[in-house]
Amino acid sequence: MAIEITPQTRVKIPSWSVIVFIIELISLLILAISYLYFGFSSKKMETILIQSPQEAKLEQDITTKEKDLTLAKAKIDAFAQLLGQHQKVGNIFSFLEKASLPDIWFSNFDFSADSLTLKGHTKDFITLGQQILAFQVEPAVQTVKLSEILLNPKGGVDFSLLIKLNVAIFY
Amino acid sequence: MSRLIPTICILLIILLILGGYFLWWPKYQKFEDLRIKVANKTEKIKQEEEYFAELDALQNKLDNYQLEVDKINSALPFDFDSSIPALFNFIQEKSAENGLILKDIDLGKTSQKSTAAAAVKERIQNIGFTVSVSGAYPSLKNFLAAIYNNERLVEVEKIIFSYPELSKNKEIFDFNLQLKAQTFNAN
Repeated sequence: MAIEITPQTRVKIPSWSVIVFIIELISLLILAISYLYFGFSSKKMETILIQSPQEAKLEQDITTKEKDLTLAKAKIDAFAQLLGQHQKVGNIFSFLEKASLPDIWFSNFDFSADSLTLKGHTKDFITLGQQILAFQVEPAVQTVKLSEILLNPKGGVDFSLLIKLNVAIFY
Repeated sequence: MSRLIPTICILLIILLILGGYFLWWPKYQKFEDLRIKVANKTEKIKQEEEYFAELDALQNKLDNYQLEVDKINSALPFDFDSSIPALFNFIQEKSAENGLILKDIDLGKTSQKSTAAAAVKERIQNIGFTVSVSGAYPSLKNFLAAIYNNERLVEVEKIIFSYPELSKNKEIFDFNLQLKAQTFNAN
């Protein structure tokens, strides 16, 4: 029996479809590789985003140091302010010693804030007037007010002066 | 066979589109989101480290002025209650050193400055107290100078005295002083 061999017809694949197929395969490969890369990287980054003990310590250290320094600054500021207002009240005595006349005798001294009340005694009205003038010319004095004046039965004049001081005297 | 390759091509295109949209794109978005977060965190840590270094430098600078800081702490102590005995002891010492006899010392009302708007003032707590001392006029002057020059900030708010008519020694006066010191409220 004779076998007849029929020639096989060759299938012709269009070249464009081969190119597209190759491009698609490459694209699929890139997609798969990048997918895996994104997956691994995301996991790694998620680990990074979890706060480490070192970061927590750094934040705590910052908070502590900030608190200490803020407190120190506030205290220094407060001290500077208080120091600026620190009054040398003893200056009032230097002023009185300088401005008091020899014939004036002060018996009561009452100082508060910038006001000074002096009660005293003198031999006559003229000396008292001179004393008031002596106080008035002093730069440390703003105003002098004679709040009380009366004749002493034992002789002389009793008086009370209200002196408003210039606060610059205390600095 | 001639239709197989184009069919596979079409299927692959569909696979690429679907896979890209449903799998790859969400993964990429998550990755991008995390990348931005990590970049922000890295920048934040860097800034925090720089800031901490600045704070550290400031602290070191402050440490160089330890003597001055100690003086400020003495002038303006933190603790209100524990500072009062020290303050009264200081007044007792200074009065004795300057020839005055401390007859009475009385803690008045304490007040926190509330009128001033500045936060600095709100932290200052005043200790008002009265002191009765007996002695000569020059002693009072020396006492006032001593408390003025001392590092403990004490303000003299009021001075009252009168000529001792009944006393045998006309040089000895009774001085009543109203004084004020401050403490610093750390809270």
